[in-house]
Amino acid sequence: MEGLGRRIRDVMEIMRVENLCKTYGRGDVKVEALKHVSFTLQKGEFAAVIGESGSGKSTLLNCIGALDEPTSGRILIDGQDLFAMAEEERTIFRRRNIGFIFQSFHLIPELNVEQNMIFPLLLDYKKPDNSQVEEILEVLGLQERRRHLPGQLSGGQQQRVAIGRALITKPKIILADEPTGNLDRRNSQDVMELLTKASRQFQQTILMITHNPNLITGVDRVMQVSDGSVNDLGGNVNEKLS
Amino acid sequence: MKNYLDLIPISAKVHRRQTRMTRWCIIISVFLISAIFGMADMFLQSQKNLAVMTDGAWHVMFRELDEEQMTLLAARPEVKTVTRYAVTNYRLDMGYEISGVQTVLCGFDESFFEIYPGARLLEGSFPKEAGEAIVTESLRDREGLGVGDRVEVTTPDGSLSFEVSGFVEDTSMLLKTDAFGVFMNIDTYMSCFRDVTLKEDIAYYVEFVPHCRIQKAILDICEKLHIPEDMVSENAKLMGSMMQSSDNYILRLYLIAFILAVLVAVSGMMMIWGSMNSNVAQRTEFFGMLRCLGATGKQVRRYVRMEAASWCLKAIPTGLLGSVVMVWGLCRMLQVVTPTWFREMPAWGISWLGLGAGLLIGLMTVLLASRTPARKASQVSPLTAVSGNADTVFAVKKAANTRRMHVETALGLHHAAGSRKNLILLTSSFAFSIILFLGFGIGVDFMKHAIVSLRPDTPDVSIVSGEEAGVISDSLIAALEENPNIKRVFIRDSSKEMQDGTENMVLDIQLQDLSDEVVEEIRSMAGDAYQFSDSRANNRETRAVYFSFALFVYGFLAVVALIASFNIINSISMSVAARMRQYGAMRAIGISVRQLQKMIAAETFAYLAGGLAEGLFLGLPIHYYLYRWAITERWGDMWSLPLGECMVIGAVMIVSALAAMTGPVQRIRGMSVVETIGI
Repeated sequence: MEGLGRRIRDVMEIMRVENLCKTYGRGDVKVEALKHVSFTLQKGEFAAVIGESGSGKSTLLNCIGALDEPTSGRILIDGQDLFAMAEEERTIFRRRNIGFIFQSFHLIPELNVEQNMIFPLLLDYKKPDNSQVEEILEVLGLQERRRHLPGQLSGGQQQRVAIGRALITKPKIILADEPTGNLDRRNSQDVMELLTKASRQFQQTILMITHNPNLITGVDRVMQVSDGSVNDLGGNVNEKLS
Repeated sequence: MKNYLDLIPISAKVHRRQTRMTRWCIIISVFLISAIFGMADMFLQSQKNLAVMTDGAWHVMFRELDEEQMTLLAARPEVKTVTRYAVTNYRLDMGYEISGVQTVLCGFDESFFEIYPGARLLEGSFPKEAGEAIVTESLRDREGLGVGDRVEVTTPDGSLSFEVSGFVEDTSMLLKTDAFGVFMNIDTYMSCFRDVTLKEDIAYYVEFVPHCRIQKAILDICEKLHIPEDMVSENAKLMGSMMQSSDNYILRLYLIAFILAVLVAVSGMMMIWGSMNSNVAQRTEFFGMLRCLGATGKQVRRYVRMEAASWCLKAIPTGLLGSVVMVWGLCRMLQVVTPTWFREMPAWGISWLGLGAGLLIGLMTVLLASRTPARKASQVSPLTAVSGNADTVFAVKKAANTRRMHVETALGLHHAAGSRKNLILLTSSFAFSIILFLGFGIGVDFMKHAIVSLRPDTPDVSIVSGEEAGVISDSLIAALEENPNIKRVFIRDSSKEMQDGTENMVLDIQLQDLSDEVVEEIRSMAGDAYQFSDSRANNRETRAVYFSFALFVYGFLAVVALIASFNIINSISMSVAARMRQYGAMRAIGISVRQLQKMIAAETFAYLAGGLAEGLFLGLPIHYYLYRWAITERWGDMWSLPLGECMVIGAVMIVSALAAMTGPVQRIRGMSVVETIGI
């Protein structure tokens, strides 16, 4: 029974962080941003990482997103070691398997809503599936604005486009860095609802960074980062939901 | 920090890369403007020098003046000197000889040596007394004369004897015709040759005082002294190089030079303008933040303007210094390669025209160009700055078309063409390089038409078989060919039958060693039976003229090519720098370096293709008209497509565009996504 349990867990496991360390500088100015961080995420899990500013949570997210290289340790996404890959290979892996949502949106001003959403597919020279695009546009409530440029949208709308862009490739994991940081309360609520919905409706694994404790009520699992170490606060909320 | 403006040096430190690029742009623009104007200035000076050496320092020559007119002319305040000059047997057909050698007889005032620095007194003094004369170097050497000796001139009416008071250098004309020269003061001359001298062979050379408006003075003189206008002729080369010519053709050349000068100034201005525009556009966020913190629009405008002034302070002197060094280098080259002709050129000359143009245009453009960005910056709303959309460099109005092309190509093209203003500014500045290059290319055509360059078979000395001497013997030819100081001997094919049935034969000789001894050796080998022609001085003159012209014409073209190249590299670099954050975000989303490279290539291609098309579209008609003015109307040659020039500038632009991409691509490759997008 135990063997089967582990196999199921292995199948469900989408990400594994092993002994991750990240140090900046040397000698007196040496800063240990991450100290031997290890944890795993299951498929479909919506996890939040909380922590004070400067605690190392952004560094953690940047390493998982392969934007920053750890000093030591491994990150496996769907069994593949991110930093064992060559640069180009890692870039392609990133656009196919990792979705990003940034605090300041980072949409491409020259592309309209729909183009921005399907941008990762276009980079792969793939033809987007129309029904999937329609579905996401509908979920995000952006059908009316599909031809608009980012400059013509409100902050909340822009962040919804960014969510769409993260969902379009059906990535293994979505990384959201303070996704509501630039938004007012109403828009923040909308974005959180959308992320929760994505996690449920599309079985999407999401790792979100926030320093706002009000946002973590709807997530499956909460981890706290302090002084470079991660402390798993557990997944009680999820149990309540199910 | 005592004042908000103290932020300027701090901000410069933080935005070091951007600031450096803008500063370089100002340095190079100022350098180019100053160098081109400085070169033009030095070119005119060198041509003036050359004109003085070859044609003399006189400005105008009058003929057929009587004593009274001559006295009145000399008394005028704008006239510096009047030199009388008369000549007999100038065409070597009047039978004046010394020891059987045709002799030119001249009389002139002592001031002749001032207005003809090319004629140098080697020994002795000017023949002040009656019956005295100075003679040419070749006469001295061949007759073994010294100062105080007497020389006998055979004339059609008997012989005349002069006492030698000194020796003068041979002129290139005398050397070429192998004739002697005997020169005396004008009074001695007139007493001996007044009756045989043709009217047109008496001239009054006038040198005006500096800064005189010569054309006006000539008109006035002709009117007051009742001199008909066809009795006046100008020293065309000198007056042309002094910008005082009245010749219609030369006036047209001035117009062409003026058009080119305006084009150079405009292209420098466009470079600075573009660079400042993009620099400020990149910092919208920063200016918005200043506005957020309570800076008024006026304060932001002041900030941008002061910042521009601080760039000027460092960049303009550097650019000017560079141009001074370049002008020095060119002048040194002139002096080293052709020392005798450019003796008068200042070794460390400073072109005030060049410096003035660089300073004025640089300063004005920077200050004017900072006005638009200053206004834009002051209009940045605090909201735009903090909303995260501030990194949009130019307002986007239409989405890129990703249907027909790969997304990276579509975005690259859209970066170039999305903002029409940006596209027009950049392609126009690229096009300007082509227009400038084609414009200055006219200089090459002009040079090829106006200056006869030496052919590879131009002889240094020639031996001509005269009527009496008959055919040059094979033994002489063999002996010449064996002489180690002789490079080549040609027997000219164009030998033609003389009237009396004898054959005229010319031996053209090119020398290994150009010294006088070698020439004397050849002369003695040939003996007196043949005519001898020494073209060395003439060749040196031709070479000096050609070299001085070519140095500047190709110098201009090189500088223009440099403008083109720098402009392309800088524009692409600026454009990429402006979008670095966007590229960072794209990298995060998963674009590969290769795809970004394609995006930049597409953008570069759009500018390049637009620039080439616009440049040829505008440049070819301009080239056509300039060519017609400068070449067709003078020499009759019809305009043809300047394929060579187009290909050279096209190649320079394409290679520069390729080079322009490598830097930014390297920067993208080494870019830290986290730091670039600030997450």
